[in-house]
Amino acid sequence: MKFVDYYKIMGVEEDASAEDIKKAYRRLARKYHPDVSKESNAEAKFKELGEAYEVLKDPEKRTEYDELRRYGGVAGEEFTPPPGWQPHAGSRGGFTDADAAHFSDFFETLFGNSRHGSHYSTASRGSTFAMRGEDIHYRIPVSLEESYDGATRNISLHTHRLDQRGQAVPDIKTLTIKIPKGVTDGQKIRLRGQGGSGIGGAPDGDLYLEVELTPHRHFIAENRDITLILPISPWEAALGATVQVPTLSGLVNLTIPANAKAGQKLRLKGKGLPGKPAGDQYVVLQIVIPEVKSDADRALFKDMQEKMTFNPRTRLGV
Amino acid sequence: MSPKTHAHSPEILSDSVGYNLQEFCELCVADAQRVVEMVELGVLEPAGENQNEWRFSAYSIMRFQKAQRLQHDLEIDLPGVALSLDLLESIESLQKQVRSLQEQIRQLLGSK
Repeated sequence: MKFVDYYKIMGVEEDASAEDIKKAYRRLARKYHPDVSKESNAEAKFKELGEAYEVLKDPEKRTEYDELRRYGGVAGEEFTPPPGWQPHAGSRGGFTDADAAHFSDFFETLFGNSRHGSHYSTASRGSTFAMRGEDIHYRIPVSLEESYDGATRNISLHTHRLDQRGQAVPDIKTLTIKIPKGVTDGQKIRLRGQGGSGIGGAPDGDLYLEVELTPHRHFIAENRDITLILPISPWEAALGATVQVPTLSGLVNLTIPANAKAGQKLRLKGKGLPGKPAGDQYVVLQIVIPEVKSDADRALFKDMQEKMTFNPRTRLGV
Repeated sequence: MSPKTHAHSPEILSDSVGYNLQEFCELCVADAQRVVEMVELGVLEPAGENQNEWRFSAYSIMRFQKAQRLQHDLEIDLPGVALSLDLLESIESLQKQVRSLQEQIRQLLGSK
């Protein structure tokens, strides 16, 4: 197993006081808490931090850890405890505040027994041991088309089950999941009883899926509404036109009013993601000026320049 | 390893579905006193005037769980949890708006 440097994880010196360690823990816990931080490795960091604090906040465990560290532990390198090494802190057989189910092998070998259960659970720990299965949280990428049409998806979940000896062993669960129509970014989906298995007759945990809408080439989703930037020519803008516009349900005809302005927003009611009510599609007009490529092109613009009175800068007063 | 395969119909956690206090407690594996305390301090905001009429949305299950974790892990008191959750939610909604606007700007300027 690899040696884990708890002082480094907490960013404190070896001689840090209990007060300093507590302060460092609180600061880093706020930073890496998975409900607060958006960093992808926040959960791993938070667990690592919890483990480090579990050892360093306890004077006995800390003393033992310091001994091992002096014995030659270097972060990330292979480490074997000295022959005959026994923990004195009495952590075996007793439960501590933190749930050790997700602690490293290093911690398990040195300080405690592996226990099964939800990371955040504070369920009953009596002699008749029963614990609800862990809730599993999972992010699931969904394209806009899949949200619009609905989709079926197979996912593999890493979970735990108990073997014959009552040891928690890793398990892989494969589920076929129907993605409901009209799911939006960040939406949570619950599958009851599809989380980790309960112990001692306690119910199984739930599976929570968080939808992550993948970016689309043209459509920009915000909740159930879709925005599309629609390029039009100056004459379509000036004279009005009917143009074809892509929507999630295919092409539709859109009437552009005469004297349309750049940035003008037109609404296609109910053309967003399905739901009650369905979202709308907004079309934002973008006026694209054609590149002048020939003398004839240049002549057309010259003609406008000479014949039209137009000051685009009246707003600026110049 | 024991791969199991089933087709499952999921529930979307929305603001619309209503659970009463007892159902909500069962879903959250929580005792009523704890839930009542969270309602009093504004962590949870069920519809309905009094306890007997309370209706919790499915979304508030997530909020309850987050509140439990924040309080346990960061040692924040419940009014602080309520404030944190409100701020986290408004940050999330602002981030969505920013992403959407950035993408609109990108397309308007890039125009490819």
